[in-house]
Amino acid sequence: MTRESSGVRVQYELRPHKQVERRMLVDAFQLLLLAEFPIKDYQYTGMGSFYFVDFILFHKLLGVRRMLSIERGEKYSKRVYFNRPFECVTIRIGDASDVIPSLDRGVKHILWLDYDYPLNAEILQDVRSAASLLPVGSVLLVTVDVEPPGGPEDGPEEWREHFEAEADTYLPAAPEPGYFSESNLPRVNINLLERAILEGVTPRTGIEFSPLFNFLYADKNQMISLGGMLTTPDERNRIQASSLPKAIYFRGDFSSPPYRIRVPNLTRRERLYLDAKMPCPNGWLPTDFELEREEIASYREIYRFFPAYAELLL
Amino acid sequence: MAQFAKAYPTKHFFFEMFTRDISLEDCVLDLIDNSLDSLIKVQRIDLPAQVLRPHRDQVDVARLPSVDVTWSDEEVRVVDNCGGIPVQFAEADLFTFGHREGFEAGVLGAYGVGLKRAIFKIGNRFEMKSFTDGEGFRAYLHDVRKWSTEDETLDQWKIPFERLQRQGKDLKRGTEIVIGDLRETVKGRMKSGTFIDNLWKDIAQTYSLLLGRYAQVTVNGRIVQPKVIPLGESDEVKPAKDEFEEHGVRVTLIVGFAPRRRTTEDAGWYLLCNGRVVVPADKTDLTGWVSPTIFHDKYRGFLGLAFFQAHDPLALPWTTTKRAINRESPVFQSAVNRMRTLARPVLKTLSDFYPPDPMERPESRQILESVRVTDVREVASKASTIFKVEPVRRYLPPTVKIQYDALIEEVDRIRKHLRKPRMSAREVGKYTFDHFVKKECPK
Repeated sequence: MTRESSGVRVQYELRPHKQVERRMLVDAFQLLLLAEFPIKDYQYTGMGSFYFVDFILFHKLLGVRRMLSIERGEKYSKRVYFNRPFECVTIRIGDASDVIPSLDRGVKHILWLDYDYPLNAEILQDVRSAASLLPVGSVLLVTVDVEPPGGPEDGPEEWREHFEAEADTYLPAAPEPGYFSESNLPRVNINLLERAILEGVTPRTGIEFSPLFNFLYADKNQMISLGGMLTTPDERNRIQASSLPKAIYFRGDFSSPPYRIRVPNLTRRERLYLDAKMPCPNGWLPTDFELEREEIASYREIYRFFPAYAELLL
Repeated sequence: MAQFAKAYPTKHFFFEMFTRDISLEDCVLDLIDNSLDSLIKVQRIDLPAQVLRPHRDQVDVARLPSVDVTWSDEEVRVVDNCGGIPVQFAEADLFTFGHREGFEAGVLGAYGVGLKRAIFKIGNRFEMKSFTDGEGFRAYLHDVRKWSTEDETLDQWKIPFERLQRQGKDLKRGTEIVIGDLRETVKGRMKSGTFIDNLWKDIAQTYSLLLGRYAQVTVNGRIVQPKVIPLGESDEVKPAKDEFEEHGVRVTLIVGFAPRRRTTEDAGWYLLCNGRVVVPADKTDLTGWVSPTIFHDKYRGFLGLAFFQAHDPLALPWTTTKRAINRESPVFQSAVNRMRTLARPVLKTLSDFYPPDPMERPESRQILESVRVTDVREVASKASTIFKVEPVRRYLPPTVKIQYDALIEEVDRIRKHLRKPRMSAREVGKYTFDHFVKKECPK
């Protein structure tokens, strides 16, 4: 694959929506920890690029020590090793498809298949493999780009062809008209990923896939991140009894709309002002400057997870 | 008063309809399964546990029990010295259509239909004799068609049966089935001339792991040589393995490269139940070949094996013909997911060896040349591992690619001069270059 890593294209640390997503995941794992899921003994496997933001968060905030980063392609392998943040992070140069079958079946995993490109057959097979192999209690997360595949001149017909070529067996037999319209593409992706997960997990007796997350956000391209846990009734009971289902970002099924992360553009001074009023009552608006009601509502949902950016002269 | 509609079985169904679902070859394999099951019971062979263990002791093939299949225009005869069938079993269960729940079947015969279906499919008359140590029995029907019309009560679902004491010329610890008055359809197949060869090949393939180790089979006097499942390895290429147990079935999966002389025909997935090949060389969606990974010539080096082993044959994912897979079987569905996962690195490697531009011949493709056939049992006995290719550095002098345009007329003149009209333009270029190097600037 010659696709250039998004790490090269985007300054990773400055993607506020992605960062909110990461902080929400940390929050969720902390809630799972309270429900006696031993998250710090889990193995975290991700695609750390050479920023390793998620690795740093999960290690520092959750105490995860077993960490594996999958890096596609050898072009930047030196940079990847150079930027490895902790001794406990192992790096594998290769594809997820090589790594998934070799994951230790004796430990629980958080596996984040964090692709920065549109859904294809390889991704679906990775997801299906992971769902068929990960031990009970493991968390599987998948991120894909849900922008229309192909060129700017393409339309729903070309997109349908793309998905038929890449994901034929997972598509509905008779999609409704408009199924491949641009506004429905996130839904198409969600449904395909869900089908691939189900294909992987259904043959496993007594094990189900319990959805936990379904994020939709755009720092530049629109992305979907969905995930959940491989469960038996015991894990499902513990999740239900925990505070996680009450979290605003929690998605216990994939058929409802995804949780949309919206980060309003605010100045530092505005943020400090707003933070002092948070959590605010419904309908509250600042009196000192203009903001829309929706912006306040969005901010109220994400302020706990929203990073503060500042220039540091080191 | 409650009223009921009739729901009896009919002999006609078993005689005429049920026989349509299976090929003649597979019927004969069912008879061989019966013989092998006798052997497995008498010798207490734990086939599900043993079949994947490497056997290092030399087997004296000449002393192995034998199943001899003889076909003529008049009759089919299957004779074995595999131990015989116990009389009590034969009287109570051997000829029933299907077994009761909880019945302890063999490990190759599962359903209690193979023997009867084979007889009905092949001919109108049969006789079966079998002897264990001293005792034996004879069962027969001289006119199966007539028997199948006598179907008023369930009491007519029985066949003549005699207990026997072994006499001097009777077979020792073995079974003989003779089927005569062959059906017209069977005679037709016989006339085609390829039937015996097909049967031979099917036996060689199906019992690949059993022939020469537990028993041998002959067809019209010729010993069937097992067809080795073409799994390969080399210093650079190691097959991958995965295993798991579910629903009482032990599943072992192996994928890798086929050895040299790869053919499209032999490539694909081999599915085995208790060591018996059920589906050979599958390249269909059954084993995960779905768009966009549909089988292509570049994958002819792919070889996968899925072994399903269980003491209860009903737990295995085979159908009653033992020539197909029950797709709904949960253990098979689990296996397919793992098969797809395990196969991907192999397919990806093969795909890289054959880039879309046929002029490009990646040096890495040489790895394929060193792959030699290996014993699947040796691989199966090793720990689970993923597929690995570790190229050994070869000495390759540096090269440069030369490409130029030449007049077709002149290239044709060279071809004519060399008397090689089919020579490719590439070969012409190489030939003329080599010629110049040799004649004008030798070392």
